[in-house]
Amino acid sequence: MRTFKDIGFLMDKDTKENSPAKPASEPVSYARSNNFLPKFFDKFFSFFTKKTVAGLAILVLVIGIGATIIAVQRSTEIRQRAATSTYSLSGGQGDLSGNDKQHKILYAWQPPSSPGGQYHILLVRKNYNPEWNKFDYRVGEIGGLSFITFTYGQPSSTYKAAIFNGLTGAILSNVVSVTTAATSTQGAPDLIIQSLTLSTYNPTPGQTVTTTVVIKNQGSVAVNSLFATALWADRGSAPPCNDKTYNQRKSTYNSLAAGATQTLDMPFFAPSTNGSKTAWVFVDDSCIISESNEGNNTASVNYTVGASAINYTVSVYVFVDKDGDGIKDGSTDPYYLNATATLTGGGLNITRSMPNGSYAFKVPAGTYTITVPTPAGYRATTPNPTSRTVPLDAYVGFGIQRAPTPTPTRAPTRTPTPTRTPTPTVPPNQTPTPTGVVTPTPGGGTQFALSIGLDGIGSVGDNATPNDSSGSNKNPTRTTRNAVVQIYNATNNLVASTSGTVAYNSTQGIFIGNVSLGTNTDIQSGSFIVKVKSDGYLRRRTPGIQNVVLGQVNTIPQINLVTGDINGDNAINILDYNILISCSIFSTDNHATCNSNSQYATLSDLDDNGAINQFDYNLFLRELSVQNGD
Amino acid sequence: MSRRTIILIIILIGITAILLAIALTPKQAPVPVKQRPTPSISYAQTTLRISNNPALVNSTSSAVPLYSADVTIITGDNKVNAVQLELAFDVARLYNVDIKPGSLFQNSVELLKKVDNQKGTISYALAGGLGQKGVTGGGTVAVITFQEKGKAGEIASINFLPKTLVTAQGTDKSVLKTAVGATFPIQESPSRLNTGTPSAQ
Repeated sequence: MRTFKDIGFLMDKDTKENSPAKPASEPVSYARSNNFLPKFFDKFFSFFTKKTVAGLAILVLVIGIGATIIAVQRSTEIRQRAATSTYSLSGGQGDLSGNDKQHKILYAWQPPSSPGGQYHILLVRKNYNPEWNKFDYRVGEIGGLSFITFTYGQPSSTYKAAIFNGLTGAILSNVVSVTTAATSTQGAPDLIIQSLTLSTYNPTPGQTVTTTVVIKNQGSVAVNSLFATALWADRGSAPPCNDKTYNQRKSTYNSLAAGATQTLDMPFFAPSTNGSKTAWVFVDDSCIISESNEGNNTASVNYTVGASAINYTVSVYVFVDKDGDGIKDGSTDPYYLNATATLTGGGLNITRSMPNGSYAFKVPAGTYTITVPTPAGYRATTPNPTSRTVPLDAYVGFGIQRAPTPTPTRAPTRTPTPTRTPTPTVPPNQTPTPTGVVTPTPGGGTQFALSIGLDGIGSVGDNATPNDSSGSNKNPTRTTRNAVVQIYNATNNLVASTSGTVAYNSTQGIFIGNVSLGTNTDIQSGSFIVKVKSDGYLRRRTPGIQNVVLGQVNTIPQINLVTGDINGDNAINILDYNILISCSIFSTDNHATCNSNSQYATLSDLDDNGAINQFDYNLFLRELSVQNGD
Repeated sequence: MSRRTIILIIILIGITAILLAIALTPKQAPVPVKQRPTPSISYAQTTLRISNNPALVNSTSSAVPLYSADVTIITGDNKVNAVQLELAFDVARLYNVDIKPGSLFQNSVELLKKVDNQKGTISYALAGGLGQKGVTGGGTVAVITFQEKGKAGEIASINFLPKTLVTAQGTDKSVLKTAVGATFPIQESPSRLNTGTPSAQ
């Protein structure tokens, strides 16, 4: 066995053999006699061979790599922890103090480091609820101990709470469980349905029924939280919490004082089938409000959908579809005369001729199949037969297109023959208008002749001084505007609606145009309330009662529309003001709000002169006194 | 190699293996969050509140006292630039009701002011001056002044109506989260007190 002495000898030997000749006067050992390190290495290397040293070096290298990997991983982990787990919730408690509070829960957290400007929120959910978005509250970016509170919630209930990154959804804290306190001894709200009435208790199928609901807080504490009231047109039993099958849901409040009532108008369409129905209303249908009595929030009313005495209309028309796209392109595609139509369904089987191109079938509500035999020499460009359900969809247009003649028919011969190229008898660019086709009035049928003055434009001043147009813009950049005409019956129920375009008449300084109600409608000639609206303006009722005659042009008295309804909610308030300012030269948010909707900039230019400036601002302030449309 | 060298190499290999095992062992996955928050984050963080303790503005013995109640705001992170107060008050208890700007907005502009002492309603819209950025924090939006009638101890109220709005930079929606009205007892009026010296008969 080789000893350390042998190794040292070999090492010395290798060194001597591989080293160049050195002068005897400069022996290495003597020249460095006062330095410890060379001596150490000399002694160290004297123990090992070259192979041993190489092996050790490799091992040290491997260890170094491993240590480096560990260090990098640890560093990454520390950074991740710092970024994702900065909060520590420390539990909560119920707090019933104060007359404006419901069940509040207090939390404390102590971020060990700055969140770094991230958007953090506290989310709470019921213990058994799988979703976290029940409540959300933004967490302030405050170092040290702080508190968060949230209202809502049920008494004596268990909740989970945690803090999340509001942008990524990543959880930033531990999850804590908190139980709210019992009902306050100071009392609680109690929402009830005080009364529930219908505009009619014997509607026809599909008829609009307006429900008048009076809700009341009969508790001893005000409701200071948002809640909603929902309506079901027909159901067999009381709806449970969070039933999303409602037909109407509206009017969320910010507050309802103790003893206060609120009246809601909640329209719905009567079911399409005859028989006894039960409408249900549920105040606080999401069961958010903590009440002293949670079992008195619903009410119901019975009504009967009668046999349909009033028939609905299925209007069938046939048109020559020149471009074959299945769509009637106004007067370009004329009506085809003398076709016949057959309607089947609901026990009916009716065939009628259409000498003027259309026919209106009077039928009860239901689903029907309509068939129009394709005239000889034509082919259908729309589905035929087709089905329609009234009163939801009462118009049926059948397109036909002149077919090429003769139709090429290949002779049944075994001998291959050159393919015959069919030559259409009608050139593609020739108008295949059949003889006798007449072009009805553009739009057809009942029309409304509108004369609309727009505040701040042309000959119209503002709402307070409509005749003073000295400051109005006589040359608007948008010379055509949309106009929506709504027809209401004597009980103020909307029975028909249509829209069209009006154009600026520079001579009169107002917008003029005809809007068509179509060839057939669900209304009959008679007296109606007519309301008109255009984008950016409040809806306004035309003065008096309008006598509407079907099939004729009905002239509507001129009305002036109030400008400033930029967000289209038929009201002028600070929401519109906020948009106007954001779109204007006075913007302080770099037009961020304005850019959230592509129409805002256009509609904010109230005087339509191409600039949103102090003139629009002043006009808005003058118009703001009219807060709501008709 | 000597035995000591072999032992040394074995020890070093062992250490290396341990270090590599630590480095290459997959970390235990963090406990998965079963539910993630829906990104439907409410940006409405503003609270309006009417003071429940009206302050006495004047107390001359010859006049019916005039009281004031502050309408305060806490904006959260919202940069509020306008407030529209739609209020209802008890006409059986309060009269000569008026409203004026608070200190929240500098160079504030009254966009709308309608006070109906018969119906008991107030429509009041207030905004910061043109070119001024939204306000963050808390402060007094407006001050309601009124006189009281009725018996001492009867309850009067001033409540927010649902059309109350608060707007802020960067959103076209109302940022109002909560509005809390005021309920307070009628104070004993000096005019109804028998404080004078009985007149001589």
